[in-house]
Amino acid sequence: MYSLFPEPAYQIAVYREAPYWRERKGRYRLVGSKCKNCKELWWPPRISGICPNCHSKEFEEYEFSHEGEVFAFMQDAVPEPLMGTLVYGRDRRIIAAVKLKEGVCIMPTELVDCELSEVKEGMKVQLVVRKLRRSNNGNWLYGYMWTPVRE
Amino acid sequence: MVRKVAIVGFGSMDNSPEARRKDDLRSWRYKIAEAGHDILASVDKGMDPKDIQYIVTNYHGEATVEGGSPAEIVDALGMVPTGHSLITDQCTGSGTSFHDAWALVASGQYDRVLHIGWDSRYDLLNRADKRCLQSNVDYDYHLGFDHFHTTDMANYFNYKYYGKRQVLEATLQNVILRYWYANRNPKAGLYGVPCPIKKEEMLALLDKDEKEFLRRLPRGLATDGASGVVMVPAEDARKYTDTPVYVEGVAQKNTPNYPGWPMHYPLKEYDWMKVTNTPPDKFDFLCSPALWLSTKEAMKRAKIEPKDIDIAEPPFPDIFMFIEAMGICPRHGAAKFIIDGETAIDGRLPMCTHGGADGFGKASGADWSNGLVEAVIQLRGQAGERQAPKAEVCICQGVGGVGGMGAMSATAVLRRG
Repeated sequence: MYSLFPEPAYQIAVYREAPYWRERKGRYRLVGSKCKNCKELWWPPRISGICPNCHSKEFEEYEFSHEGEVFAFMQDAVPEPLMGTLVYGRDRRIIAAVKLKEGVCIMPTELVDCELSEVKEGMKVQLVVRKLRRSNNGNWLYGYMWTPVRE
Repeated sequence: MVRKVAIVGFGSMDNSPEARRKDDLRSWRYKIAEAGHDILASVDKGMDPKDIQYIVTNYHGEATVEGGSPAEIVDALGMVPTGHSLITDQCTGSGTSFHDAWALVASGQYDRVLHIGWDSRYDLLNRADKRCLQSNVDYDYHLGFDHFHTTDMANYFNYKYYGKRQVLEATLQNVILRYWYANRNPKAGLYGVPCPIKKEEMLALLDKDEKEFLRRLPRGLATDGASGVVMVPAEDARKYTDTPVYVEGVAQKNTPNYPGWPMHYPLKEYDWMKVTNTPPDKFDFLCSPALWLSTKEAMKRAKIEPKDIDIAEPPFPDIFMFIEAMGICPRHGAAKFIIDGETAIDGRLPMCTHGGADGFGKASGADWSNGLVEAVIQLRGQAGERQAPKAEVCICQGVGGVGGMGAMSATAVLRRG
């Protein structure tokens, strides 16, 4: 923990900054990969740059739908999450699998701004980006989460 | 031309409560060497360490040991300058290293290969790594999810398809059996530890207070581990022992390691639902196609049917797919199979007879090889009080990672010599 920041800055089992920067589009905007040859969509993005289907190396970015349905959900039963999310008052998180219209399933992910009792399978949710924790140099890291679609 | 391969020696480090009290006094090097010594000492007609032509070992995969470990391990074993490959493949790692050790003998490359699966929970450079979700870390671990969350996810889907009551009853039965088997295995971590619960009391509790039921359910035991076998061509086996065990079929398969992949991974070559004998609306995180593929391939190579399997040695009885992938019971029928007592010593399929990973000691990199060593002991008829009545064919299974409740899987079918 730095004197400047009240939150713990984890020095163990975390990357340096470069990988967080590299993967920012995926974690902030759900940008995955689309194979230019066979047109298949891939989530998580094909970081290795090879399509498992046709073995092409030609990809373009594909921004997945920011709305989806709850496919599965469960109460976080892990008493002390390793990554320090505890400090933001989310110590009893709702872990979920969210299915997008493209068929992709984001799992594991987190539902926020709702109670466990409100969550149902098939419930419509939308993407939000929230503070996750401080990086080991003190910068904020953000991550995707999901909130119920409010009419 | 593939040569038939035989196991002529087997062994493991001592996992008993008495030995574990000295865990902090002993380096991981000592534990590997203890297993290596035990393996070679078990060869009935003798085998000198100098006779070993190649060594294959594995550990779980995170920063368990210092760089340069492959040479360190050979030195720890006192076998410099023997060739050695060090593999990492998470919880199925010792199955993968067994696969590779077997291949070196089967191919004719070497005649005497030592295989050891091992892992350390104490000598870690970075203990936090062990809790990494161990999959596509950018999209799970770094979003705040670690390995323990897989239990939450697995429970959700288990409850959905098997029914919560059935899952909890099967879990209870597995715990009772864990203590039964471990108390008959002097090397097990729970040896001499009485089972702290009674089945009837717990079932009554389940009816009225589920939270208390879960609280009282004993958790598994995590330990260090090191165990393995020595393999030779089948034609040489009788030079070393009168009771060889033959390796009839081995397979290893992989699928993606992102937990959500089963819901969308459009690899056209495979119909994942058919692979796992699962209806499309029930195909998801729980299904573990790698396990089904490796089990089927190993059984096919061994030319056996489900009815031929006498004993199963996966690390956990709680992962129902182990039994279902063998075809011994229908899909989504494993929980009932366990509740009916079929995995007990007098059941259709005695399972995890060394105590399972939770009773013997969960050691990740040595989980699969702990089961393998137990399989060899059972097939040689040397299991004492926990000896299965029929022990002709035994299957060893394992899964590692979390992509679909197990992204990688190794399976072997062994037969009594």
